[in-house]
Amino acid sequence: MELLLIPLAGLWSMDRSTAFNFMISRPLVVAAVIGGISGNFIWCFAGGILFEIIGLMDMPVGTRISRDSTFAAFVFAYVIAHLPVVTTEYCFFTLIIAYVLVFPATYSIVFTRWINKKLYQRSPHRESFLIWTGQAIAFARGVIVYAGGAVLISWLIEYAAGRLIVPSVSFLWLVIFFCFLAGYFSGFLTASMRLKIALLLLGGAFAWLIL
Amino acid sequence: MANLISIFLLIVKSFFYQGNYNTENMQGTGFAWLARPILKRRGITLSEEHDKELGAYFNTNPSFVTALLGIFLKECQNGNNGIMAKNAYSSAFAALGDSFFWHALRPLLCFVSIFLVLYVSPWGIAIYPIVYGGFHILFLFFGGLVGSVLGLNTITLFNRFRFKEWANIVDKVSIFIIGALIVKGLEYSSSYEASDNMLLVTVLAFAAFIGGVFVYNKVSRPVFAMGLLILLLATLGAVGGYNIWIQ
Repeated sequence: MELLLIPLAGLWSMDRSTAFNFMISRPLVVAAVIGGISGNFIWCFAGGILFEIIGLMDMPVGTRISRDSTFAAFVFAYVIAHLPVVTTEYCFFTLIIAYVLVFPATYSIVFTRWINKKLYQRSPHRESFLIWTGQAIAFARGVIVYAGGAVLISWLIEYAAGRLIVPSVSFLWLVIFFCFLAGYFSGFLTASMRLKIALLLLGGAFAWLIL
Repeated sequence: MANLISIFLLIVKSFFYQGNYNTENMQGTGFAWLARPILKRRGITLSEEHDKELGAYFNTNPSFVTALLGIFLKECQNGNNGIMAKNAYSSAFAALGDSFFWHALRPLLCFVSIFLVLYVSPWGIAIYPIVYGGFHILFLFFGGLVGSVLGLNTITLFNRFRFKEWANIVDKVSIFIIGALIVKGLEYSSSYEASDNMLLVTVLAFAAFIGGVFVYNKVSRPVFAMGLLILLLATLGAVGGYNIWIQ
């Protein structure tokens, strides 16, 4: 079942940059699927939520390449799913590592676009060849960067586990962090400040009283 | 029937048209890849200059590529400059797509699927790709049909749907769902570790939300990204001390 993650990594990379456009590569979906396959669903999903909100504000408008939040979710969920014992401390530690590594992972998209450009300049009229080569490159990027990166980081964390003291962080801290990110994200949404607070309190009251 | 099959095949083909996405002609190769076989089938011959420009710079929202293809073919069939129509309308459809798909549908589906996973079933996550993919296919199907019939008037029809206003409503629904999610998060945290003062925790969560809104309004994106990283590291240090590595 775990081997399924290798082709999935390729497909997620394609969905993110070159094919489908079905949002199967969103951090939320990626983290939930890995959590479902490998275990520790709720922790994987919690990380997916945080990366999803960060990713939602980062729109690929025009030539802009948004940061590869799919990679962050993949790495985070894979590592968390493979920890022998999941603690909030290691979740938090992995969250930071995944967030930092998003930047080199995003550069791999820049690199694949550069390869596509070179291929196009060499033979601009071989459209079928260019399209399917591009798909293969995107698939390979997913397998190498997502799956390869996740396994490598998982080994590193396993190696460090005995030597590292990770400070105590509560689950509550993650929830507060989610609130902060949600607030930041809501700045991106169109509504007056008063209306935002009123709707937020209404939503909270609805969940508290009814659900 | 044959027409429906060819539309279906075109939609499936359009799932892959961004394969050669690059920094020079963006999705231009993909557009030429979609257009060339149809031009050949319909017996439309482009001038040498236009043929060269078919694969030149092109960039739009992927859900509207068939609409632009339809407009391009309609213009070519009428003996007009299809290349100019394609270039002129690609940005307009990109803006429509950004407004509806990126700004409205994606955040809404994100919060709805989180809500469903936490309150109903883990399978609720499937809502995200299924609904988004459904809209994507719907727009590809109707966009292609409408584009090839209405030509340049296609954008007028799409503008009647007032996608920007949808985004405004969806934004408000998203904030409402965020409120419900915060309450669920606090409930989860109280089940993980007994909280002494739930009122204090709720106030803290609310303050963090307001802090987030404030930071969005006052701080630029790169500073935010760096600040977030520093905040994470500082918390890590403050909570646990600086001596991370030991023998």
